[in-house]
Amino acid sequence: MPILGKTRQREWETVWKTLADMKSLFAADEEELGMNGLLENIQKLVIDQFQKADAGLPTVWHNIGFGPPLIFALGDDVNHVPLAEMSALCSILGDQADTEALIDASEAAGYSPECCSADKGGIGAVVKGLYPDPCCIVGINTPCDSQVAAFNSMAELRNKVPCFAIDAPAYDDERTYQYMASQLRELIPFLEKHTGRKLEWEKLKQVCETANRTAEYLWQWMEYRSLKPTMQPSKLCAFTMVLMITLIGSPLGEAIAKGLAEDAKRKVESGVKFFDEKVRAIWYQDPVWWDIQLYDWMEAELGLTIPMDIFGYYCSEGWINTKNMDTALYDLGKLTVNAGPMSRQFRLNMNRYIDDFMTLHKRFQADCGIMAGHVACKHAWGGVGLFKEACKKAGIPLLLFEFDMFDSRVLTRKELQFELKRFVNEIAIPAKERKERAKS
Amino acid sequence: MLITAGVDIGSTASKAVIFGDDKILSSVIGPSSTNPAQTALEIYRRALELAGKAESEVAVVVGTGYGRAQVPFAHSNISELSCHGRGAHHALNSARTVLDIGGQDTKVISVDKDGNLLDFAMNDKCAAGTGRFLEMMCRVLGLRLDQLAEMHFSDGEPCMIGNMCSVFAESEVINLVNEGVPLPRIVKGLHLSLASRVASLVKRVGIEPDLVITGGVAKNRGVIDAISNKLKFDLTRFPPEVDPQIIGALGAALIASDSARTK
Repeated sequence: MPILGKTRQREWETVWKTLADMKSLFAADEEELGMNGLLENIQKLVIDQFQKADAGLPTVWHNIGFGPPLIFALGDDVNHVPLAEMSALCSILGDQADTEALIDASEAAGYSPECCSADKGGIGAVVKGLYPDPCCIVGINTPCDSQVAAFNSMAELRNKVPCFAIDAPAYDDERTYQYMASQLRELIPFLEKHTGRKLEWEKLKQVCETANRTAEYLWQWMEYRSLKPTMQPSKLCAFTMVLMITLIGSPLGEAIAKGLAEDAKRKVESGVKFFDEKVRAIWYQDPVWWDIQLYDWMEAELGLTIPMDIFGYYCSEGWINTKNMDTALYDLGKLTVNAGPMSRQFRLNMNRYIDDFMTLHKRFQADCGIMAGHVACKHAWGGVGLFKEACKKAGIPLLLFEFDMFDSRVLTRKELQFELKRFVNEIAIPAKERKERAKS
Repeated sequence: MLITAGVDIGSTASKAVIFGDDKILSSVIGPSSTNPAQTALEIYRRALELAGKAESEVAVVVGTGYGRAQVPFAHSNISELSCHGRGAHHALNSARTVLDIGGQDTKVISVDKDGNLLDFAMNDKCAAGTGRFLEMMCRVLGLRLDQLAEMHFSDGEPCMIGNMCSVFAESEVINLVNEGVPLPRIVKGLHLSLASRVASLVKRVGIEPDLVITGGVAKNRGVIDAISNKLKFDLTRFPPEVDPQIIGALGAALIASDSARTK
């Protein structure tokens, strides 16, 4: 299936076709406005990227710890590619076999098998030439070591392309934010030089205001998502992370957030109940990208809902002061380390990881937690004992299992379903019933 | 008298318990087969016969274990986690951590003061650390399972045998035999290997006293000794009249009683 009148690589065409099919599938359902908004804007993003690549406009590659607002501020004629984009698109919208082929391609090219599959898929996409050639690369050393390896690999695979490395400290204080802001200030002339575009304050201000409105919509959305009964599908919470990594500061990102919030509001006000939930859990780690329909199965078979996940919730934390360039850069730096998915949770010690879980658990009226332990995430696994201990102390039932968020070969759907079913039926629901009996 | 039954179809052994008047009326243990439905029926009927009861007198039957879905006469089936937790708590009220070493998997189950399941960890992907591991090694060594405990308490230091893979461990054991290492040293090494595998699983859930051990392997005193040493923690024994291998079936029978009462 050609995209914008041209034949593209098979992986892209598969994504494109599924996107079109899914759009027509959901368009007929009035209750799926949130999902429609997501699909609509993901399609716009893909169109935008191809149009820019076809027009020969400059492309900036970046790894997933770096958000795109500064790239957006260079103007509408600069393309950007988050490294893991193809991992996500193939898994969510294309063919999962393609994601796994990209993972294998990266390993065959020498990329470490122990690294994160999000990055492995991204490196595979680079190896297979699925992204437009970059004019420059921006890398950041957060959220994890795999990101550092990914940045190094991008740089090595395109060894004539200029790279800019951002160093995020493992602290959470004024000095950290100032240091981050100073690096972003240095990044601007680098981006200007290699894209040939000028970053104007007025444009950056506009991007930051868009990011702020997006955050506001997400906050509104969270309020609705925390209510009982749940009014939207669980799987929507997984996409907040995609929004943050790919679209924060863009009108497309704002449109997605607005769509989610308005959809939730309309359903709450009109009393639409999505389904009868038996138990609700905070999903505490990566979504199962290779089978996003698993959330539908959890709802239908187990009565389990996920009102929010770890990475989605804090996406909306970053508020950018648009008084002037300095305040904006300071807040963008702060947002990168404090609201970036995974950067927030794994840059410091486990206290924040645990405290965030407890906050989510309370705010979203959850009954239990599910730590979907991505095999490559040694940051989470390194502190899992402390996390388990904290949950035990708080009396929160916790399921913990190993899987890979982009590779279905590590833990299959059947095995995953078995784990979830056993936990929900034998621990979570009985614990909730005991709690309710004790209250009454 | 309310009579209920629990039938536990495990990977190696199948167990049936007839329960009534707050006590075990009878229990039967038999080998599992490739026809779990037939096995279930046979051990159930034998248990009824031993208890002197007829099928029509049993209010509710609950199936558990790997073959629980193959117990055609069961009114419901419950996973072995809940059953082992419940059974162990009934047999010993002070039990808070249950270590079940079965033929195919190892489970650590945490229960509260009322026997409710709080948490668990399982090794169900690998034969290392399960009863199957010891069975395999007995074949290689030409020993019976009931000979292992006696050998464990013989003189000699244990050999070092890896705990990550039963296939590799089997090769190691063959090498040790060919090097002329005395069997008791190998057996102690095997128990130590199993114990270290099990200990890491126990630590994942955390030890809350009392810690009890269920399953067929619980009958091997050598394994219990090795696990206690590895954990540096004394395992609590069930009362002598309770066979640790029937705990899952007992739990199933107790859950069947609950179900009959709420009917």
